Amino acid sequence: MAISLGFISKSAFAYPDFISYGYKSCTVCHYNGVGGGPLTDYGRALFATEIVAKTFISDKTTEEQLSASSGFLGSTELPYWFRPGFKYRGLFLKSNLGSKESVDRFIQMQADVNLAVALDQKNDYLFVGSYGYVPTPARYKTSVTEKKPSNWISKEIYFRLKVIKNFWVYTGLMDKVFGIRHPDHTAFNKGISGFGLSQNDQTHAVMLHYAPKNYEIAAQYFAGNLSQTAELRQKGFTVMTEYFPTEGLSLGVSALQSKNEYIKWDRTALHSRISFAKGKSIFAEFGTRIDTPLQNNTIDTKNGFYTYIQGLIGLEQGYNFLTTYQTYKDKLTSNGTTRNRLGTGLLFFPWPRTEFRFEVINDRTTAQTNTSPDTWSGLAQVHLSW
Amino acid sequence: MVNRIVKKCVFILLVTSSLTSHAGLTIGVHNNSWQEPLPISYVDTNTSQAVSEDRLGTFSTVSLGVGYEDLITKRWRYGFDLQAHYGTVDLHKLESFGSPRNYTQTFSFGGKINYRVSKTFSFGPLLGVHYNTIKNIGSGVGFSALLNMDFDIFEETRLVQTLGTTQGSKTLSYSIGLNRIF
Repeated sequence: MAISLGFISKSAFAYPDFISYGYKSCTVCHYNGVGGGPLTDYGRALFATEIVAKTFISDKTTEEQLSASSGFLGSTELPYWFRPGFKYRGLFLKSNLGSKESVDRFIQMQADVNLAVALDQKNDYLFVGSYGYVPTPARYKTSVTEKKPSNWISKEIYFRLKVIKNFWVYTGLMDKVFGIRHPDHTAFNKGISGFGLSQNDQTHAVMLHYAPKNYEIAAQYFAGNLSQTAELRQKGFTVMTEYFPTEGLSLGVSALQSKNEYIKWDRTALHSRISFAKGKSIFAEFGTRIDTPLQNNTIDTKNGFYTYIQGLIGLEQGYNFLTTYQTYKDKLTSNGTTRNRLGTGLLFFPWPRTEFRFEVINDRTTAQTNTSPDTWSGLAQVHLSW
Repeated sequence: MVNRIVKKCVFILLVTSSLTSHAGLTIGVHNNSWQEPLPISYVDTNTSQAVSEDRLGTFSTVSLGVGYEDLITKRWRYGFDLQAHYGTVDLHKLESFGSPRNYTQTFSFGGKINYRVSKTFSFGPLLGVHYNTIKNIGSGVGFSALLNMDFDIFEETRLVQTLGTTQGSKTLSYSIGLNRIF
């Protein structure tokens, strides 16, 4: 299990912000080479040694010891073919701060168990699966006609084959490849209903991923989630590519097109990640959303755009200042609604396997006929990765 | 008149920037959002009475700016900039008022002092004054107190973020933009 980070090329990270640590691609840290999902041994070791604060770690503890104890059972080595994991994310949300309508809620956002089974020591043949808890969407809590979906679902089950150097093929249930992968599933381009890229919008797909040194490209054909009703499944393709002109800069483009019997989706995005010092980075995504109804029904036509910009300022290892700015406009007409969201806060990795986020969020909506006062929310999150 | 003031300011900036080697001119583009109370008059449809009151309006603008910066010490830097904004003002929901969206032209002037925390990040207070002209409403002057954060993303290019508030609004004002330094 012990991994010497110095001997492995720097091409991995857990969050897109970590390009500032010299890691551009997701391939080495995540079993899914385009990011998200279970961490590899290298990803676990990297988290323990480079991301986590040193505050609560003894000066006598070496990086090799930290890396060696980052496995599922600590320093107890598991067989090479067996890599279990656990991921939990909980949120305490205080909405409408400063108002009489303020409500406190605790939300279990994610509780997944995952398992990677390798058929060979080089991980050229690999099965990955995760199974987890999904909160009940708000509309089902009040609806008497709609059947409440299960709170437990399979999120990923895929087989990964390394065909040649830097080239992988994935088949099975997985996330769609589009834009920059980040954990903020309430972002306008992730959390808004019908965007098709939320944390539980996995799809059955075949994906090709090629990632040499200076660029990467992933192309995916997807057939929808086969557990869904056939007429609702979005079938289509998506392509995401990133070019790395320098060590601390990525420039990317994504495009997605899909349809079911009722609606056609077109999504495009330009995205970039910029490191401007160790521990300091900005990433930005600018995208468009076009929804075209295919039948005379009540589905709304959309032709809008979104912006997502996040800056991470490392104050010292494990302690970061986070700012996020988002915009979403659902229609490019003067009567469209514009939503702006600004979040500032702190992102801590105080000790191994643990992450805390504290943010204050300002939401501002403007519309030609109905502009309302701002709303403020306070968020405290805990993430555990075992 | 505004054009003349802008030309004079640019001229002064060009002259002063050539006087010291630390000084630099900045040119930038910014996306801005702030709120401030605006005086409006309307007829209340329930009482048929004429009403005059201050109503909060949300400004959403894009601005072009030109500025000047110089070092005080190695860590401390001061600067100021002038921005010309164009965008919309949305009055907060008012059922009796027919068209709450209006267009605005705004000019703002800000002065800042920044403390450099690292080679690529500095922050500090920014005080601003702005003059806005709003179609159908009139014109007015407002003041802002902001926290300015500069991220040096490339050698001569900064991502600039501000957070704070505008006089009388008790709400958040913010902007994000790019500045090129010459």
